Amino acid sequence: MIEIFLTFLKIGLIAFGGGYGAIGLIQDEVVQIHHWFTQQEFLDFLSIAQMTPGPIGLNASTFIGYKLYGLTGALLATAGFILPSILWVYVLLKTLKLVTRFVDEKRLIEALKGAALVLILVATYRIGSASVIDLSSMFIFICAFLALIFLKKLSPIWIILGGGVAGILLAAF
Amino acid sequence: METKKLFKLFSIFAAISAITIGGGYAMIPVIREYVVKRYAIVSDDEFLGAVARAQSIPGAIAVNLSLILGSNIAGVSGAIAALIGVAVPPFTIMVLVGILFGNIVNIPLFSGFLRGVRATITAVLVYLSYQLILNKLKRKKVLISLFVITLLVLILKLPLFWTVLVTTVVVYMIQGDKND
Repeated sequence: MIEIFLTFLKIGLIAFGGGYGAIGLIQDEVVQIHHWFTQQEFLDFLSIAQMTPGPIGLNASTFIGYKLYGLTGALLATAGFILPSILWVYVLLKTLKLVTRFVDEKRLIEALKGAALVLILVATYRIGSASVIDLSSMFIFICAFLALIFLKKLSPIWIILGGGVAGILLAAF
Repeated sequence: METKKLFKLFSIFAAISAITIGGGYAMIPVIREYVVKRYAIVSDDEFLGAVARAQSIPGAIAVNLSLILGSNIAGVSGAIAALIGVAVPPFTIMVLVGILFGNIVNIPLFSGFLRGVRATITAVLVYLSYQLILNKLKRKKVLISLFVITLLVLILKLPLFWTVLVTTVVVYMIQGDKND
């Protein structure tokens, strides 16, 4: 059970790019490395985490922890995911001046963004190749993408719910 | 007075966390609405600075933001109050969903719904990648290296954790090359 805490600690430690960056790492650890869940189960969990209130990385961690070991698992996974944030914020607020004496801040920030891009691209491919699999999912994907580009004022929740409803309708035909 | 302030921080972040759906990037405008406009506990400049910092370190953006803003406003205890506020509602909700989930996932209607949501998440991810590439990473050499690394991860199934660590170092080094 300590393994789940350590796994999420590891994820939280380098989850660049926020929750969506964390998704790729969670998938890597939970599906590829530990085989706790199948890709299909992971994707279901992810959808749930996306539809429920709160940060997606945090939701996914809590939910996966719960699925593994109930309430204790949920607590351990959540704690593991959050603790590194405390460490990083501490580093950021207290020791940044010290760090920037040895490294170039601009280059460092660029490097961190690069890490975030790799995480998000990997997540995009892995989730996309398992989610956009036929004409109907392709249709939903394109509509959602266009909505994201052109309806910037619209809260993402409506796009997500719209995708879900479209999924029901298309499945019915 | 101090306790009151901390409770306020806790309740503001709990409210934000309980009502915003769609993850970190969707949460930023909502958090801004609450802490800058409605409760005016920080200035807009301070807020935007905190967002930039929250995004530059690993972890969920809302979590990082709660820690930074909480600590700006009321030091360590402020950071803890805001963090607990952000974490408690999703934790409760996810555990409740976990209890119910086993029974609803097998309903065909619901699995259709989840499939639709997944296609939408893919769209969100593509959109995010596109924004990252467009706005933030302008150097060709860096971008190409990042794509190569991504392909290597996907083809060779490299462990992401170590790859990301190496990537950070590589991108940092590449930029040192003045002939870029």
